[in-house]
Amino acid sequence: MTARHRRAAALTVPLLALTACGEQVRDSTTRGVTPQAEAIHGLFRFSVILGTIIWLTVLGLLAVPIWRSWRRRDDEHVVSSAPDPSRLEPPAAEADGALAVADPAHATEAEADHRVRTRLIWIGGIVLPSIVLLGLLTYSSVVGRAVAHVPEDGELVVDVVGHMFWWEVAYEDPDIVTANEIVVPVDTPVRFNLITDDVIHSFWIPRLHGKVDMIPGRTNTFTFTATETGDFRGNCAEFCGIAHAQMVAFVRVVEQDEFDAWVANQTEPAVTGTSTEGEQVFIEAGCAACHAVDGTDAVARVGPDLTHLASRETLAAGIVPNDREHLEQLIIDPQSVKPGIPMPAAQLSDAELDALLDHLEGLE
Amino acid sequence: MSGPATTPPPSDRTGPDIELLDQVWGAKPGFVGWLGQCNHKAVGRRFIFTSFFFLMLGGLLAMLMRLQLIGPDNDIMGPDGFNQLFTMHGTIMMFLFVVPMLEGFTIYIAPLQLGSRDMPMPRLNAFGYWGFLLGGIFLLSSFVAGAVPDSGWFAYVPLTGPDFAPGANLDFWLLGVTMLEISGIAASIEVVVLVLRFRASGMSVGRIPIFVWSSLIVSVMILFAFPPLVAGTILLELDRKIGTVFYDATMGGDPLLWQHLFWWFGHPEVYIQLIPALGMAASIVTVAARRRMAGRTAVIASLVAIAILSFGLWVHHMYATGIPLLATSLFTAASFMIAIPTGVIIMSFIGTMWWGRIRWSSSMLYVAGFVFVFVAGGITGVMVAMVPFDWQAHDTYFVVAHFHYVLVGGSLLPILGALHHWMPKLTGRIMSEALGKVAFVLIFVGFNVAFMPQHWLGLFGMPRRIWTYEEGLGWDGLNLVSSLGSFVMGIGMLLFAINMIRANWPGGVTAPDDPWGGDTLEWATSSPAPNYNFVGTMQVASPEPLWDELSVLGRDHVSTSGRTRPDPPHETPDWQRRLDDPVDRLRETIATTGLDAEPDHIVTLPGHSLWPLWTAIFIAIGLVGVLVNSFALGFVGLGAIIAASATWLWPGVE
Repeated sequence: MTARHRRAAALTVPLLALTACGEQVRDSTTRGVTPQAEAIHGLFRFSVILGTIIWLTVLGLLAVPIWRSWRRRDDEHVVSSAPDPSRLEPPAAEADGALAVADPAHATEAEADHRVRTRLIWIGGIVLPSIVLLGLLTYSSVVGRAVAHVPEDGELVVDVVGHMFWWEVAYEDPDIVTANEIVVPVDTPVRFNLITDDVIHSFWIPRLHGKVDMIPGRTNTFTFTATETGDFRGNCAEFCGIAHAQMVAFVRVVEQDEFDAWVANQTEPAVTGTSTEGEQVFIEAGCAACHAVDGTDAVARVGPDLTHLASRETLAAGIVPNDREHLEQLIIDPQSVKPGIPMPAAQLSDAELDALLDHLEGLE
Repeated sequence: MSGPATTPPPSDRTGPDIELLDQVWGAKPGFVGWLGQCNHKAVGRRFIFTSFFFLMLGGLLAMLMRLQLIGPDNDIMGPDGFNQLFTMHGTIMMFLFVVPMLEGFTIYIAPLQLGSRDMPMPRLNAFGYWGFLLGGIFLLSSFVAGAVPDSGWFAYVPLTGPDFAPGANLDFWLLGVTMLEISGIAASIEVVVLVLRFRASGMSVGRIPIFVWSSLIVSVMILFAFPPLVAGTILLELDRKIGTVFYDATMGGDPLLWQHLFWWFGHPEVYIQLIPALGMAASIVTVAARRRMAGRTAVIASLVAIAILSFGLWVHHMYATGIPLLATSLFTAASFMIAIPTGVIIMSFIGTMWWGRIRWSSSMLYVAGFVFVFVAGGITGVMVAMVPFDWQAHDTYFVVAHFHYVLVGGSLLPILGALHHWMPKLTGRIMSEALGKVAFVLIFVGFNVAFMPQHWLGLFGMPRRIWTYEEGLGWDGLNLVSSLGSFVMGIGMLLFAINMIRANWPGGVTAPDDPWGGDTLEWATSSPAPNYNFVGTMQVASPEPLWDELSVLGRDHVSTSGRTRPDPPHETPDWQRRLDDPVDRLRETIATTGLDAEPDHIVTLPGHSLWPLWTAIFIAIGLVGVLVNSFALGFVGLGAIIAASATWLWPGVE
């Protein structure tokens, strides 16, 4: 985070540190790591400051009559009895002189009243808002053009396919299939082609860019160039059914050499030397009906590809850490990890489970 | 209908026969009479109090959601329950609370403000209520059937299509909502006729009260906005029931078609909820500040402008769907434009208050609260109308906060204010001001504490419609604050309800006819309004006839305040006199010309009828047939609907 970012964060979010009790926010739209997210944040910052000023101005105007009537308050606060009509103020004169007011004191007040009303409506209601909105429209259009999802040459292309309730990740070149964690190099233009296999999902990583929907029959694109390394998290943003809340994606931005090493590992066939017994369990217990592990007989692509499962940091679409304990829980009681997950519970003996876990943990 | 010439003037007039008048316009005795009532006041009251019940129910569901989200990894309920809650919360608040509540106020108050004796089609009016009630019961029966709709109030396909939602959950939603929409369309047709032809003599278009203007505008909007949703839901129901593929992308359909149809309804719907509330706020401001509305013409023109513009904004709910930037930018510009008429209205309200000696009644507090909350929601609305920012904010808690500021500010608060303001006219009772102010403070403070932090939650990456979240994302503290705020607001709502019940309990404080020194005609009759509304033809010469007393004819006939009747500006023509002397025991009111509101002819309105109720019941039976896949029952329902509506329309049948 550069000094400029820190200043920006300090400027836009002064209250939230207070309300959030100093909690560390993991993935805020206010801390973009791409030119796109930063440009959007700049637009937000400008408009929220402008909007706050306008809001306070309106409240200030509202406060004037409140204060004045408070000062002049009298017994008319008694509301449960009908006021004597003779005590009602006569209506102020309208511009067209429809109603003449005889009392000169009232006439002066009525004139002042009319002047104030006209000014409020013209200046406050029409002229100022028009100027502000035109300015904002221009700024918004400029930012929109700058951050629009336009494919360019030489970018890394990844197909991200939404499923209920996980993300399939397929690199076009080199040919890699993985799930839920997308590794990309820093300072490189990246394009995700967003596709869905079932219902509408929405792909969103707040620190990279705004969300883009995955819609049946369409391919949308999500483009960005990350300028910082790190793990960036995002939830599915379009309600997609029972486990929508637990459909998390991670984009892992790494240095180029780290990316190359990762690619080298992923493109190799699965290293399955550890446990052929576990491989058997994988096939026999039915895991292979949905999951693929390259280099074995498991080739189904209904669920996430597990070829390099052990190289991922999370399980069940980004919701629990990838360790033996959570893996075991996910296999024998998936509903307790993620209610609504379509994966059935496996009925395994302890020995079988151990062998299976050994097998899966070896898939680096 | 009979023309002016058909009735010879009675030669031995002794003045209006109030007792007979009351009898002719009153309900038939007994429970059947109660069921068959179709007078606008009975129907309006039923709409208002039924929808208030739904408001409390929808609020209760919201409390449960906030309870689940109070902390990370909470498991008070699972995803099933939570998804049902947010679906039903949105559906109840939109379809069962706000729209029927506003319809109720329109049906009760607008004829009074116009000086009419009833709505032009009283039986259609009654049908509107029964359709609303049965549609609501139909929707809620999903709780009993254990198939509560759970795909959001927006019901996006394909999640709601036959492949992903095979259960009856969505059928309950689609059929129930369709029934409610039909009821809404029925009410609207009638309001349009009412405002165009049933006004007081001399109430030219320019003198129509702002609240009635807002009702007229919204009714026209409903006529354009609801049919696309009815069409959309029918197409979806066809996809689900008989295997059409309107929304199936694999077969050449398009899921975005649903979004277009839905938001073509859904966006104007926001303004359908806002505009009558603006009309209510305008009524309250004028009376509380005891000033004529500043820039009255500008306010009405702005309401019309909002209504027209609101049909050009629907794509701003779809910025993230991949529609090209240039197209979406046009919708940014259109969305921005709506801020200008809205600004004019807010400035007019402030201008009206400017030199006024404002009476800080509870209703006026709600209007001040409305300005505070609604303007904030409008500003965040401008922000989310900007395509690039919306890509970040869309479907996050920022948007949740935004539209609650708009709808609570622009609908709920004015409605609560209106309940205080018009309760004397609705039931003849007045709500406690002390209790009312305590409830206001709790609701206002609770609301802001609940929803202000949600702006930050959205910026911090919290999407909508999630039933749980992990620890360590930075959302814990803000969610806790938000939940606590919502509970405070809930307590405030409970106090409001207690206040309302207490006022209407036997022994509540009886309201005078005109407790606030009102400007419009409803305050010229007794509290609550008598069966026949007014004696004689009301005659007005300004938009605020009661502040301009000479222009009101007949006011003190019915007023209990004992003032003497002012001289009428001119003699009532004889052909109108039979209105006060219903010797034929017919319900008669006067129809006026469209623009200048000159008395045109006498209209005979139908009274007591059970057929609207039967028609609504048969519609419900037909829908149950579709629901349980019994097409035989569906056709029985359809046949019965046709038979019932024929009987309903048959001359001379009660």
